[in-house]
Amino acid sequence: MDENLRMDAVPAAWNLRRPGGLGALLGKTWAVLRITVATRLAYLGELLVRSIFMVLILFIFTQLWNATNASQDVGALTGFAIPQLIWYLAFTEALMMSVNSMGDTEVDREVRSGDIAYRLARPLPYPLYHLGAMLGERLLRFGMNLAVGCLVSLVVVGPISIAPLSLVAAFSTAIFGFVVDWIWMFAIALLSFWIEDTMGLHLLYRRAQMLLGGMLIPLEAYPAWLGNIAQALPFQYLVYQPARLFVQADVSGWLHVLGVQALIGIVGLLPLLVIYRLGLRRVSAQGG
Amino acid sequence: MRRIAAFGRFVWGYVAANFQGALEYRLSFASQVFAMLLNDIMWLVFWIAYFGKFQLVAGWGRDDIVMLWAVVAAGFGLGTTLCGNVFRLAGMIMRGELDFYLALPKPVLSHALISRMSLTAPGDIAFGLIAFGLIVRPSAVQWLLFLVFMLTTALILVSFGVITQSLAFWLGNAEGLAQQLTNAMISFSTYPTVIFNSAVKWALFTVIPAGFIAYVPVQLLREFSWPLFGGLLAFAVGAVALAGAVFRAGLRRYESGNLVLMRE
Repeated sequence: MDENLRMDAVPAAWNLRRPGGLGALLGKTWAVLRITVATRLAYLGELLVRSIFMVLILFIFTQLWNATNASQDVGALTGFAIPQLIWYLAFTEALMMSVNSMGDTEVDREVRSGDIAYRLARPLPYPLYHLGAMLGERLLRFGMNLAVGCLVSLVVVGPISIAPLSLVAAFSTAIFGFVVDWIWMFAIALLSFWIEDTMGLHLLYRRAQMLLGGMLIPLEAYPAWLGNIAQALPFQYLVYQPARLFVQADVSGWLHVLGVQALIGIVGLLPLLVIYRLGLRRVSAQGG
Repeated sequence: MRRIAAFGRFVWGYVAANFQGALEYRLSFASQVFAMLLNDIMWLVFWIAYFGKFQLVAGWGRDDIVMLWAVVAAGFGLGTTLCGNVFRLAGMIMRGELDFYLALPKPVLSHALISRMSLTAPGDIAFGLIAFGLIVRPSAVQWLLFLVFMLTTALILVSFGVITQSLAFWLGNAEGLAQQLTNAMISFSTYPTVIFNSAVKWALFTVIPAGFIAYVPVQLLREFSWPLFGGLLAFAVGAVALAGAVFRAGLRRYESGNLVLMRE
């Protein structure tokens, strides 16, 4: 082997394995995001088939709300007219259907199979790899589901007026919400260092988000007792608030929503980092 | 009669082994059962909240939706506790994993179905029994009917699953399609059937028979009628027969993957 070539190769490889500064870390996370999107796009047909559920659920809810509206004034009781409700649902369903339930339990599988050892050895912190992969997955699924949802809403209830600023407010809070949601989801996933399977905990977290976050109906449509509980909990900032900003031409609460989301995220970082540090101590690599 | 008893012992053997396997990871199993129970309770809270704000939807009230959720959840739980592989059949067919069952003397379909249990399914059964008992407060006759409807719902759901998953014999990769059809079946069966227009209702009593696992049991629990009850039993038996026939027809087209498989 050429000695010069070998010596040149060592520093280059060494640099690649160094975590680098914040810019380098963000660059690598972005690369994971892009690779995830490219990988998923290779199976576009499968993603489209999964969007059929969006058509189904919006159709069912249109029938439900129309049947309810036949005997009671839904608009007066909720503050949302039927077309607004259906567009609201298109947004919340797109948000929640962008969750890959297999992704929620990916850490479980890596801990059980020992694959975590390979990920830990890479020059990108383990959590950031998962953040990049999750964002790629969710952004793609969200975009596709929302496109299908908007199309279905157009067909079943017609257009509603959406201000450009509403779009900016809705999308910024939705995407920032993905990061905040990941912080809590990942903290739960890391519990797999102690319990074999976190699927049950994820299921609970997602259902709480669904019910108390306002995925199925806006919080105004709940009776007072449940509405008050939902208003007091953080789940609404991940689902209800972005969807409300989407359908209601009132962006006055936009910055407030972003601020509360940031607070929820920062609070979530504490358990995530503590669990991660403690969990790493339990990893034992045995070769293979 | 001896063959039926032998088949009963065979099924019971698998049920016991599946539970023993699940109990090997007690905490995980308990957490999944409990999570599914809470998941169903959350849906129930949604509907109770809904009916707290809007009194009636097309003539249906709170108790009707509780009965519907109780029957569907308990039936689904029973079906997937016993036949936990039902929604994995398409993948097994595609990957050539039926080879294992073909080499053994027991019936292929029932053997493949019962060789796994869904770990969350007992949570559905518990939810159905608790919701029905505590909220509906049924009479002894209604309890008896509820147990029968658990069985008919389980039979129809598993049969529907077998038929849709068997599409893999003809289409190859049919996992996505079968999953969407199952989603449709479950979604339509967990909303009041009366809200749908006549064209959808027709579909719900034929191609996606959600009406038979949701609307008909609720209707019978509200007001019993022998012809409707007989119709439900006949449909459940017919669904099982059709599922068996479709699977057998598909099995003739099955090609072994010639793989060395580790059974999961």
